[in-house]
Order: sequence, then C-alpha cells, then structure tokens
Amino acid sequence: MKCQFLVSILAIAMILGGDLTAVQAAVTPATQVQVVTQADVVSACAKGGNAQGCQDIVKAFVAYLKVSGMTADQINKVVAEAVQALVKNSASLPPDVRAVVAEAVNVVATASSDTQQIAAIREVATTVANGSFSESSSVSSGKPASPG
Amino acid sequence: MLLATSVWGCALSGAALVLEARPFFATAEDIETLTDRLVAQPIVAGWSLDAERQVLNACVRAMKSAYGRILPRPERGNLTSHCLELAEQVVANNPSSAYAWYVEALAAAGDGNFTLLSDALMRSEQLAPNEEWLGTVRDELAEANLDHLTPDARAANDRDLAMLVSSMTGLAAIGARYIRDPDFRERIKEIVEQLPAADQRRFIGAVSRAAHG
Repeated sequence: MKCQFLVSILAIAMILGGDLTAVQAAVTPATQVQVVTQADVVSACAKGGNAQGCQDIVKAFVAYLKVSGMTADQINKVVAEAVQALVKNSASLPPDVRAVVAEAVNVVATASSDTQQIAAIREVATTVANGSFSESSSVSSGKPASPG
Repeated sequence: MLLATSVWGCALSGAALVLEARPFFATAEDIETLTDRLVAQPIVAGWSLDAERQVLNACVRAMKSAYGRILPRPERGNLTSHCLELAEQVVANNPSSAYAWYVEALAAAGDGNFTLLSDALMRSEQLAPNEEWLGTVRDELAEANLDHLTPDARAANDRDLAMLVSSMTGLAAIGARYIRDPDFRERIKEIVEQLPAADQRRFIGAVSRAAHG
C-alpha cells in the first residue's frame, strides 16, 4: 500500500515535472527576450556602429515587440516611430552607414501587420540607401496662390 | 456697463490672438509632434489668410513627410481626414484659394477618394494656371495618381506640364524627368509639340543639358 502510494507520488511528480517543463518552454521566449528600446536601435544602427551589431539589436527589438503584449495597432505605431527615429538624420550619414540604416529599417518593417505601412517603409528604406531621403516638404516655403 | 464691455472685448481679443497664433506655433514643431497632433485632432484654420496658409502648410508637411506616410492605417486615416476637413473648411470660406484646393486633392489621394482628387486638382489648376510652384506640386500629385485621374483632370495636368515647360525652373525639372522616366517621354513629347517653336527649342536644350548631367 505504502509502495503503491510512493509510485503514485512519483508518477504525479513526473507528470507534473513534464508539464512544468512544457509550460516553461512555452513561457521561456517571453521571459527570456531581452528588452530592447528604440533608443538602443538608433544607437546601434544610426551612429556608425557595425552592421552585425545593428542587425542583432534590430532583430532583438522585433522579437521583443512580438512578445511585448502590445496590440497589433500599438506595435505598428511603435514601428513607425522606430523607423522615423532611424531615418530622421540619415541624409547626413556616409553611404556605408546609410546602407546599415536602410537594412535595419527593412527588418523593423517585418514587425508590422499593416501591408500599406510595410510598403511605405520599404520605399523610405530605398531612399535612405540611395541618399535621396528628405524629410522636408517641397511646399513649406510656398506662397499663397489664391488671388483672393 | 463700460467695464463689462471692456472685459468682454479683452476676452474676445485674447481668444482671437490664441486662434491666430496657434497655427504659427503648430508649424514650428518638429515633424513627429506636428503629425501626431494632426492625427489626434482636427486643426482649425485661423481667421487671416496668413494663418490659413500656415495650417494648410502644416497639413501638407505632415502628409508628405516620411513619418506621415509610414504611419499605420488608423493614424494615417485620421491625418488625411483631418486635413481634408481643414481644406474643405478653407475652400468653403475662400473658394478661390488654389492652394487649399491642392491640399484637398492631396488629402483626397491619401483617402483613396479619386473622384475628389480629380475634381480638386482641376479646380486648383483653373484658379492658378500660371503659379509655377503650385503647378509643380500639382504635377507631382497627378503623376503619382495618373491611372486614377479623370480625363478632365489629366487634361489639367497636361496644361500644368505645358506651363512648367514654358517656365525656367520647371523646364529643368521636366528635362531631367524626360531622361529619368521613359514612360513620361511620349506624354511630354505630345504636349511640347503643341507649344510655340521657341518653347520647343528650350525644351530640347533642357533635355540635352539633363542628358549631359
């Protein structure tokens, strides 16, 4: 009777152990993903850091967004802000750093669930890479055309 | 009674000052702050023509900025609909504002309302057919939406192109585009063929200069 009890306890412990491992495996990605901020991404990519370091940080940023608990709309907004922070001063960067930034922008875009936004970000990445990116509006200095 | 009138007058003046000053502060903001503000709430046109132009500029700046274009759908939708409301408000008060009609066309394009885009572009061209800077931005918008324009709006765009070919700065840009964009060549050739011989010669010169960098 006592032996049967011990076997049962052992079986339960094994089952629980197995379950816990499974649960732990499911939770691990969320708890082990490093918190990466937009500032980390800008610092690693848009300030002349090495390409591999930038890629690693951007991938970690995207991984973090996916497990962050934010809604899809919230993630899309964060994506827009991160891309903007990356490209904002890109016109003054040397071509090799612009290429790193453009690649980073394309990776950040993969976190978005909005196809139009992704397409717009890819266009921006292209202009960053070829050096034609400009934030300023072409009509900001426009005069009023109205005769009245 | 006199005191009450004075207080009321001061309050009214203060309100007018705030309303007029707001667009100027808004346009001085960085692009992210300005765009987020336009996304969050409609912008109100001031009373003067200058304030009106400032708020229209703010909308154009936000809608054409990289940040404005990479916003997700809900925010982008708010931005274009708030700017469309503003442009409609301005053209309702001042229907002869060619710039406001252009802003309405720009917002309509962002909204996917291509009937309104065509109509607003045409009205802007009719009101200011010789404004080079406005013709340039109208052409840019028309070019990006060419497949969606009505025949009348395309005809208005052809008139803008003819005007730009006849101008100094517009001519250089058209010459460069002729080299850069093969799809554009046949269209501009047909337009230039209708222009006086002197303009045709200037156009050939501009294309030649663009080709030789």
